[in-house]
Amino acid sequence: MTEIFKVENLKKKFNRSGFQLSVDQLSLLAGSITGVVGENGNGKTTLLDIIAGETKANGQFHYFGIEANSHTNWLELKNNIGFIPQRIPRWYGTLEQNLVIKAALEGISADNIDGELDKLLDFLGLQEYRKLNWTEISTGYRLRFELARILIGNPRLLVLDEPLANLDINTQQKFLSDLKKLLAKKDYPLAVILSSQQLHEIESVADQMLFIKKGEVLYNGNLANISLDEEHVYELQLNDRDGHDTETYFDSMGYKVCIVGPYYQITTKQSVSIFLKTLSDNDMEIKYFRNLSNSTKRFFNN
Amino acid sequence: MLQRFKNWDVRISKSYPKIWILGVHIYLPILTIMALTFYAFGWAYNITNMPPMREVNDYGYGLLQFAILPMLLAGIMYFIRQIKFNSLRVHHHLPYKNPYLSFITFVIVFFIITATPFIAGVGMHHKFSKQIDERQFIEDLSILNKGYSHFYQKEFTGVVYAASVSMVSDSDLEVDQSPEGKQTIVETYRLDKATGNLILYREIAHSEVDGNYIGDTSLQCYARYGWDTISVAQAHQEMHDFIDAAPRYYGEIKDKDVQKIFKQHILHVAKYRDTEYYNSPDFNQIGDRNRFESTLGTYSAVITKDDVFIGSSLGFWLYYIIFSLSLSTILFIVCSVRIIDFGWSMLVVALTGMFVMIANGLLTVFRWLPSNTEIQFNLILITVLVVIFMLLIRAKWLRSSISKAFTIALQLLLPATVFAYFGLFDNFHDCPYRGENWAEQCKDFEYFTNTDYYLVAYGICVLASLFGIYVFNRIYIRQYVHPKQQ
Repeated sequence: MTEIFKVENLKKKFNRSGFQLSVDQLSLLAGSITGVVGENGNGKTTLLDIIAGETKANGQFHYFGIEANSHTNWLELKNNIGFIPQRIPRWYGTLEQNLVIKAALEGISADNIDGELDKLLDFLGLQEYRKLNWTEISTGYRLRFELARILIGNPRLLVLDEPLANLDINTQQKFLSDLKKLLAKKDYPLAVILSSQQLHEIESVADQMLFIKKGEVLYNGNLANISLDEEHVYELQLNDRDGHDTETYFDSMGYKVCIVGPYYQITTKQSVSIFLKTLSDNDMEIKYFRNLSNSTKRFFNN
Repeated sequence: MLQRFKNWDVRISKSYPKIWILGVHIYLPILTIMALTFYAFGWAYNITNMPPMREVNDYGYGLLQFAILPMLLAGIMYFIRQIKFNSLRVHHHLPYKNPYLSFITFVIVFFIITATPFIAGVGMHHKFSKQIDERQFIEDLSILNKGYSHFYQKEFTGVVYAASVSMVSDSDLEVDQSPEGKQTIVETYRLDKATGNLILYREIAHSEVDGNYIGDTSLQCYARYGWDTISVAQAHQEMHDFIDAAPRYYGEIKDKDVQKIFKQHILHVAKYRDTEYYNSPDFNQIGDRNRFESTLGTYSAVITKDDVFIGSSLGFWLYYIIFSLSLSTILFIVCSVRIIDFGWSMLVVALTGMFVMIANGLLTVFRWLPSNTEIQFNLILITVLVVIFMLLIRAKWLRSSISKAFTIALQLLLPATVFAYFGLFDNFHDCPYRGENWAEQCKDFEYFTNTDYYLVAYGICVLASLFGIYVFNRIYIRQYVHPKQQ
């Protein structure tokens, strides 16, 4: 697959706070979605800003196969990078007007603009909102309109910083499925990198995950490769068990237990089916269960 | 109608997006209509009888003042539109990729906006020009200037410096022996006893349209005063000629007996030469002198394209375009940078100005510099400041927002710096250009004619603006588009 972006030995230090982000190697391939996760203040936005060419950092950067250096024409380069920051700048005029201008500036002929916009807005489910203004639509639609605007420019690299924040669960899923469909539909090489706190939603669409903690990349690769060891991690919540100490029970069973808010996080070598059967045999009523064995969420508590 | 406009607006946005962003498709038609309206107002002025200049001014300046409000509104609205649709915070802003298209469009739009108040004067000028026989007036001008002194003398005495004037030898002259200089008080209209000639004080030096007449700068309608000596016969001829020409300009003569008037004047001046200025009756034979003078003023203003007619003068627009260049540079900067950085740069500009003023104030108070070296000092100071600004722009240790503020401030101050250097050149040469006021002081005119001098100044201004766009556009791209050091 075509390598859209690659960085080696990325280092970015903030002198005031002393915070340092370092990524040994990161590669974004055409047709792939890369999710960046991590706790707040650990460097996700910084990393995306660096990839989008907003923030300077040390390292060897390659965009679209060409090394970025002091002679790089960033004005041209950024034409191929679609960056949606956390706070999207407002649009003036009607949404349609903005999209028309963007399309015309991109060289789409006046006769074809309406057709192209129709296709794009249908695809993103925005057709009925095109005549509205920025202030008349919700945050979710603003994000999708921004995505529509960026897509008109046919970027080869999409950088989305916390696109799911402020979106309801349905809108999140719609947006992510749009992204997935988009990658499948585009007939030119396009890579997507996005950060989010919505681990499960991101993991459901991402081909590659990057987990950052305190500026260090703890995991960078496919989700399937996360649980290389034989241990499984399960997250669960149980109904109240009168008079029974659940934690003592888990200990007695030889599980490693960690309490994360209202949840227990259990580390064991038992497979899902055996683990669930064990709980069931001991009359434990499960309120919530999730297998974290192949999720980056398991890194959050380490 | 509104729907038609909307359709057209959409069509422009699809076919010519840059034109749409720059607002040319809206502003140029509106401004053209506005300009044509004011032109029509100017043209509508009734000049069946050639009006005196004061009335022309009342009408013309009234329209000019009336046009200022729409001009301000149009300017502010254009600024707002550009900030809304073409500034850095808007995704499709143009200045980075199309700096010259943006800048030149701004210049054109602002030029038309700021020109609007003067368009009424252009309309008036076109109408007046059709009515006025310029050749006739130029022919009459010499006659009128010469003849006028025989029909109106307000002051009956003049001062002659003893050393320079031969007429002091006349025995009946009073000689002032004051230490300031030997002055002689003489009648301004009198017969020379020795020669029988008429000696009179009048506009003589350049009282004619000279050979360099180019239509707007060299026509001397009311030139300097001086002593003139003519024969009585000449005086009579001048009076005859004046009597013939003056009525064309509402200068009706009460009494047309030339010899009688001439004698009366000699006696009149002699009688009142010792009278206090305000008590002496006018030496006036013209029916309505104010009307006559004011009508001449109208003719003069029309031909020289002066006063309210200045809008018809190309020279005026050459200088005036500097106004739109300045506004365009400011708008270009506003569209190229973050508004907050522009705000900080205003602070830098204000503090720089204050610093320069304080430095000058201290120099003046404490007299630290030899006299007449203030300009040199200021140029060195400005140069040092420019160098410091440039270093601060490149300084890596400085916060990027401060460095951006200095960049913007430097672009704003650059034209002033260039002009300061031009001023230095001006200051080092007493007569850098040929102008009527320098006529007697300068032996060698250097470098320029008057017109060329201003053309050079104008050219420097245009080039400095374009150079500023070229250089600073690159700097802004580096500061705002390239990855930033957070």
